[in-house]
Amino acid sequence: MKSFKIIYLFLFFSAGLSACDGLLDVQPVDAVTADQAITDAAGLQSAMLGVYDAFQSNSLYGRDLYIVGALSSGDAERTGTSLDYQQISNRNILADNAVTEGIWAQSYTAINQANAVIAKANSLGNLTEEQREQFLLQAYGLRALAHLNLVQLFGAIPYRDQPVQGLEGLDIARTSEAEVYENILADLEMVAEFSATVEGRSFMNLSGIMALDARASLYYATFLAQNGQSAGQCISALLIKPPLWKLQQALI
Amino acid sequence: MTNLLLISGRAHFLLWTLLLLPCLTMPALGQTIQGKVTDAGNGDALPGVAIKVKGTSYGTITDVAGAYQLELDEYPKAKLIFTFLGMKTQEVVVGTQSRVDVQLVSDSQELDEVVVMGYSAESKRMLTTSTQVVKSDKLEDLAVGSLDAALSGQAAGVQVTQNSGTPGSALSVRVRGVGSVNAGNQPLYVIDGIPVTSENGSQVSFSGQTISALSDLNPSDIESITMLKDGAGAAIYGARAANGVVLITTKRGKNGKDVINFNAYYGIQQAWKQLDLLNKEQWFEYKNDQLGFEKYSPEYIANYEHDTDWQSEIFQVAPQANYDLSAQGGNERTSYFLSGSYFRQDGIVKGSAYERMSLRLNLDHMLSEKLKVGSSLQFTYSDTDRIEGDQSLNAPLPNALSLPAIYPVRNEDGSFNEDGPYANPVAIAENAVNKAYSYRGLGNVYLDYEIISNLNFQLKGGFDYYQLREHSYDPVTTRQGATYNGLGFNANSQSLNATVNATLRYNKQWADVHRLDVLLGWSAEQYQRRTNFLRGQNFSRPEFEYITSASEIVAADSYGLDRGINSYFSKVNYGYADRYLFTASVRRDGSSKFGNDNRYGLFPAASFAWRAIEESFLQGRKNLSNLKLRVGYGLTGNDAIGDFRYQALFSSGSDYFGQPGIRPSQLPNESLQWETVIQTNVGLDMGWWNDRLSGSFDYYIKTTEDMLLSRPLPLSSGYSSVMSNVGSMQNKGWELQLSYDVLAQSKSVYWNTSLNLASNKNEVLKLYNGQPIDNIGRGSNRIQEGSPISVFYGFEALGVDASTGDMVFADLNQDGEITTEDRTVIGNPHPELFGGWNNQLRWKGFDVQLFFQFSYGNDIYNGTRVYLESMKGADNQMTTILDRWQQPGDITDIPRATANDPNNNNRTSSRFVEDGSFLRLKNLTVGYSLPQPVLEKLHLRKCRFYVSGQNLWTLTNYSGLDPEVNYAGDDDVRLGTDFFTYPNPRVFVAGVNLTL
Repeated sequence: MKSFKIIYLFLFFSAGLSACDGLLDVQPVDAVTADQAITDAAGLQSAMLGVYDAFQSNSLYGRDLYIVGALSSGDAERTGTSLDYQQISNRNILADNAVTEGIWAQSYTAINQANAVIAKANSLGNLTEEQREQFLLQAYGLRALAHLNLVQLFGAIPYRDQPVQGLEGLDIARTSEAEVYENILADLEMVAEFSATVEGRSFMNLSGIMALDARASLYYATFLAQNGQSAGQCISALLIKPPLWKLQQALI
Repeated sequence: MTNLLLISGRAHFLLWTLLLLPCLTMPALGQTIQGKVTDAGNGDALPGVAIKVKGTSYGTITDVAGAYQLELDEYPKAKLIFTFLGMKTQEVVVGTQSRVDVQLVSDSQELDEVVVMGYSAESKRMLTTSTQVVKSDKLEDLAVGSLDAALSGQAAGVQVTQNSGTPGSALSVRVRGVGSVNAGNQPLYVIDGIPVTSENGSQVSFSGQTISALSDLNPSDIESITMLKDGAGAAIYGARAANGVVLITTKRGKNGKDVINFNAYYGIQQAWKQLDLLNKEQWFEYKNDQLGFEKYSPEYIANYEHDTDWQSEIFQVAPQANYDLSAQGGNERTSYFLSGSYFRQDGIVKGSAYERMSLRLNLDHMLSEKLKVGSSLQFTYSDTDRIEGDQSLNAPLPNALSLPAIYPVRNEDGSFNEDGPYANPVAIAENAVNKAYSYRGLGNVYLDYEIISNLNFQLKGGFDYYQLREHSYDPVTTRQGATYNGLGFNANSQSLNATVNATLRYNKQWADVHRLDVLLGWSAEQYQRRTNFLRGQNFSRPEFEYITSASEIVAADSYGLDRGINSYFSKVNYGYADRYLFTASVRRDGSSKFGNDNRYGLFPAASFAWRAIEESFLQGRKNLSNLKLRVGYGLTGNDAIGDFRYQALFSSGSDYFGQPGIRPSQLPNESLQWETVIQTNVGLDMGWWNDRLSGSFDYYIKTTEDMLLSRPLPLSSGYSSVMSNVGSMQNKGWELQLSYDVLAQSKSVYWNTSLNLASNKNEVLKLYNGQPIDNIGRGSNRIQEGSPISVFYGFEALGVDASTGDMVFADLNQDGEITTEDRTVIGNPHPELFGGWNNQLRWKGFDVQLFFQFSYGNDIYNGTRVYLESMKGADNQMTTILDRWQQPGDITDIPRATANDPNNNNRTSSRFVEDGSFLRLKNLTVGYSLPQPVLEKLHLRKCRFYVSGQNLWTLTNYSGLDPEVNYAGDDDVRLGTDFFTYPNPRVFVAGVNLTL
């Protein structure tokens, strides 16, 4: 009898030993591994929406991008307890200011997401040419928008055009302002040539690209003027660009 | 013979065993020995003492009068061994005398006590590790609501901080220092062998103080708490034991008459300190100075009618009550413990309260002589009224401290005044609804089978079900509610942790000197959490609180999380001659959280103890009654590293204009694993004068390797960090525990004093690339190599410049400018020394407990003063600003009042770092038990009345509301900071204990 009991015990133990390894195979309910995430146009569209969502953050168009300009210029007044806003308002910004860090970090988050979409749009084999162009137009446009905000607020910045997938090569040097502007304008001009259209007011489309190009060009012109090139030279350099936009005669 | 029935059950058993031993008939002639055995302590006769001739099976037992008689003809030069449970064994060599009287000395009860260790129990005498037991009698009179609060100051090296006085909130329990930055620092809590959920399940943010899952456990059900403090002791729990293990056993029934206990107390709590804030006149005068011109004329000030003392409006004297009723008893086969309890604590800040009801049934039954089954079940319901903490503009206490006195509480029409810069705190306290309901079921069922004698199999299955339902509503009568026309939240979080343990235990003793104990075990756990969350706005009427009355569902969410653990473990105890004791254990833990390269971790440990007191060279010493040296080494792990952190993930939730989006959320790390804590412990236990004075001293070195750090990445990569095991931290320290029976000679007065003292030094050894982690929390904690974790980091304030009135900060790098390069370590939140001092006195029917808790050398960053002494903006100020600089030549330490503060006088600096050392009379209880004759008339076994107080007296230099403070609650890295934090109350209660 005793030996039977011992046998049952060992059987029980060995059953237990093998059964419960399965306990360790659990998956998150709200995430998928990177290799499964984008495999077709639907996945790419989800990722594209994620890029737009990155701009909704409180650090960007959700709040702070509007506030920093308004506080610095005196258009708005800081009440409440935020020491970060107080520093911006006083134009005495300390290096540990969380608002400026948030703008920087979130802009690059958006850029990385856009780069992921660009890379996948270029590599997936099951997209139509129109779909590919639609995704590239939006992704390049948003990437340009993020880099434009950064170069306006921070000057020379690292220019990112590849998605980050591992831990190598993360430190890159800053690119000069002129080169950043050139890169932005080059991307915008490239997608302006696409024939694909994007529907919906809340998405980047050709009008958005053109408006962004105009804004980037004006700021680039201002930068050049502030750095020694005469205004006339800038404006005429920009005038080479019709039919993207027209500059009113009165402004020349 | 009737006397024999009154001796303990075990002695009874011993008696019968001895009688059944074959014994030779006593020879009629020759040497006859007679004598009497008494208790050396009080002279009482001891019946049932076993007397044996050494080396034979011949012997007898003493009778009711303690007398015995033995014929020793056949045993020349006999040695008689006298043994009795609870007494030290004595050997007497019989010479030619015919009478041998023996006084047996009481064996220190403590050393024979059985201590619950991981998955097994050992006698305290045989322990080789640093383990401390806190018994229920130490916890009984503390008027606290949760078991972690009851541990405060009780165990050497265990630092319990009551982060705030918020009812039902989580305390911080740290065993031997902070061991981790990202992976959690709470010890593992195990109740009756089953690990329990102790995390914060709340989904509605209250900024700071969190709900504690431990507060659902009823402290009066606890029989004892064992703390496994060192690596060797805790390693049996493997990957979750890095922060120590708290083993709790609940009360169980036993063979005997039914005993009914009823305990009740009722009392009040109050805020023991208030801040000195400006009144109406002082406010207007300060404002005139700050603005630079006389905006408020003296006549205006004199005629202004409102002068509100907001602190007296928001603090209240709050009642606290506890009632518990239990029954326990049983017979030889079945025993039970049944209890019900009710606890209620209103908060000293209006709008906060905590109420709990719980029911427990512990049952044990012997199905046969070899098979025992049983269960322990507890059900608890709790209801918390929560209020927001700091970091919120809708928090009662911060708003009450920040609103100037010039605003009335109510307008003339009775409605709440909302003219001030902050929302009316009384309106929030009275009108905002912030409820949290918890439904908790905890329990286990077990089977204990003795396969053959000495081989025992136990199977235990347990569960911990925790449901937290949160219901919040801000009606339009509060400022926050008015913004949204009513704001409502409803959140549900359900978690279920199921555990199965199977153990096989073998013990064998042979040749009277060898003892072996082998344990083999397997354990598996599965954890599931499911949550949902709703936010609604725009309610039709202020009385409607439920989202069904909201016209807009602003957010709706649901989520799930699963985890699994699979473990194998083994432990071997070997003792030689009860003198040389060895323990070795190993555990293999697999967790769903670890990367595929490191799925299973191995956690070995070994310890050795030498009971030097048993050695012959120490036998003669009369004064020394115990000497034991312990050495241990063990590896434990910390698996609280977050779930799925090793995978490259794209997450959902990045939605845009109603369309669902995903985004890359995590960079992969397949070698992600637990943090390992390697601990070496050396300890010494000593006792003098029959353990009248007993103590133990431990020294430990605890190193955390593979510390999980959010390795910072250049933000321009699009990721801020990736979790990797790259860091290392060390805690070194010592613990001293002393207990002294001061008046051992006295028969009428009993006074035991015990002290526990500990010192821990923490040092961060390695961070990724040496990069510090900066700017953590409101106290600007910083993690940097070479310093303790979370030191305060900021500018060094040198004082006020007498010519300008601005603060002067040290230019540490001598570059002529004050920049962030000039910041340095300005304080340390960790104490140099901490502990508790407990005194228990008894005289006739009176008993007194006097318990002090202290902490020395810790700093507090007073974040409240950053605003209340800032002299800018619209906040009320402390009266310390009346000493501010006002004109050139003034010498003071408060800078000038200026609306804009261009010099950033209130930046993070040593100006706000204060000494947080304190000595606190944590508990004073005076009780009186009715004497025996009165009890007999009332048919009671015990009746005790008592009055008790918590936090009655506090000695501290800290200027804030309470020196036991952390605004961030039980946070791992934001430490030692006060930010308008809810203070701990002073409590007075009166109560009664009845036993029927």
